[in-house]
Amino acid sequence: MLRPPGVVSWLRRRVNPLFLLGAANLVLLFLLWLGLSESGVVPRLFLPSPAEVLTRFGQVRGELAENTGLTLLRVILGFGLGCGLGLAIALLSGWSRNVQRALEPVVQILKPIPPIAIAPFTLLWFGLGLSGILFLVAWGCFFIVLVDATEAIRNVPKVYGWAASTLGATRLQTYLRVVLPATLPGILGGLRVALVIAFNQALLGEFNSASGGIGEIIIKGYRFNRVDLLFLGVLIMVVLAVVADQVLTYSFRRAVRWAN
Amino acid sequence: MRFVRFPSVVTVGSLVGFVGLWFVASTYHLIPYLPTPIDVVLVFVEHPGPLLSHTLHTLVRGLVGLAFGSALGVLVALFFGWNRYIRAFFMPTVVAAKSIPVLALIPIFILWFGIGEKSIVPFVVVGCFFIVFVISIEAIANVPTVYVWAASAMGASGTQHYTRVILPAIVPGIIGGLRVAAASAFPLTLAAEFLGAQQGLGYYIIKGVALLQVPEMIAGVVGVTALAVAADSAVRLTTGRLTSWSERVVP
Repeated sequence: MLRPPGVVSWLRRRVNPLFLLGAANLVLLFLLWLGLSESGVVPRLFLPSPAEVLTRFGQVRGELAENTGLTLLRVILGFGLGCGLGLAIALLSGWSRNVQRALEPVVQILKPIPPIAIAPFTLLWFGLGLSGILFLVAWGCFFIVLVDATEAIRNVPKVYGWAASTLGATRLQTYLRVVLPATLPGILGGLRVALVIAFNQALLGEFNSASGGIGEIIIKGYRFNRVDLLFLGVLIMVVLAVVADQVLTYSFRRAVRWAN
Repeated sequence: MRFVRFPSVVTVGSLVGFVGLWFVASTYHLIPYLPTPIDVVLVFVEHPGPLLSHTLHTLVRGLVGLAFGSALGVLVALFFGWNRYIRAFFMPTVVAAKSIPVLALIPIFILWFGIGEKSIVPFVVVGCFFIVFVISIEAIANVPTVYVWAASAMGASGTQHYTRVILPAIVPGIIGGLRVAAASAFPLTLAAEFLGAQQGLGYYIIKGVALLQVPEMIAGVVGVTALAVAADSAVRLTTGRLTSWSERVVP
């Protein structure tokens, strides 16, 4: 006799019942959306039905792919630029007390400025195009990572440095081979916060500048009363942000395997 | 002596350098439309009226949003923390709340509630709610299991676990969340005002772009920064005593 395929038992072993509860929540949310929009309880003007959003998605697929790529490009480049600079400056001020003392006052002045408030200036300073939004995104990420990395560098146990010196490492070797790797695991939290800020900043830049991207799709949907387009844009943003966060967390944890 | 004086020289030099660079960049037009620091100071001296009244609008919207959003965030997090089934059910919501770019929701709020207070305040409520909710629920999840075991060993009931162990343990986490929310409430208000308001600092700054009143724009940024810093400090100072027993103030 053939053995049963074992799908059920595999599922039972593999799928956490708690995970199923979470999936149930998503299904219920979708049904709620379906019910509210299709029954007409909430007018179409305020809430498009899932079918409408899906139809619109089919119609503007190409345009959407292009704009999604544009937004992602801005977020990734700006995020990389801002986080990289933040880490670099933190490393520099960890290396030299004088660099730290020189930068500290300027950082203390600029850091409390909400990154959102910078948005209107980018149009004046950079005009339309990639550089303005990149600046906006990078500015938002920079201070978060700078503060987190500075803290993480301070928290590296002194013993590590002593151990490296005993083994004959120079100061630079100790810094690059011991302090830097010990710092990196500590900035994941900061990177994740910076990623959310990066998405927000990119959106804000796109709201204001008519230079493409999902932000422009959302604002177009709002201005021209095309609610299906508006909701489609917001849905894409939410999915992008959630996926990006998961990818960042997973790949960063893999990259700093030595931490665990 | 040299050890004491040298850093202060570097610090003062850096501040002077910052202001000096600003002057140079504005006088020689290295950064387009950048006014000198004096122009910005003159806004505060010569036309403080409009700035003050717009700041007041932003202040009220931000405070109302902050109050309702934070209270809601803490309450819902406490409800979710009650047991792991509720937590598991709302897991996707929590994941989304954590990484959602809230600014994407502004146009939806304007569509649903209209221009002005009607949409700005609900948006700030939701923004602050997300922040406080996510941080509080993480605080609940991070309560060391040893605490719960210890309470069980001493015969605590389910309710006692919650009120005597979990609640006090998450206070520092919740205060951390409140501080982030307090610092974010006014920028969120600002973002909503960029898109749909006739008063408030966001409107004041955006109007500055259209009329090229750059000193006014910078003064507006100073205003919103002051609000955010003041709110954060207020939370920190008023709640300092609540966590005096804890080893860490901010998680």
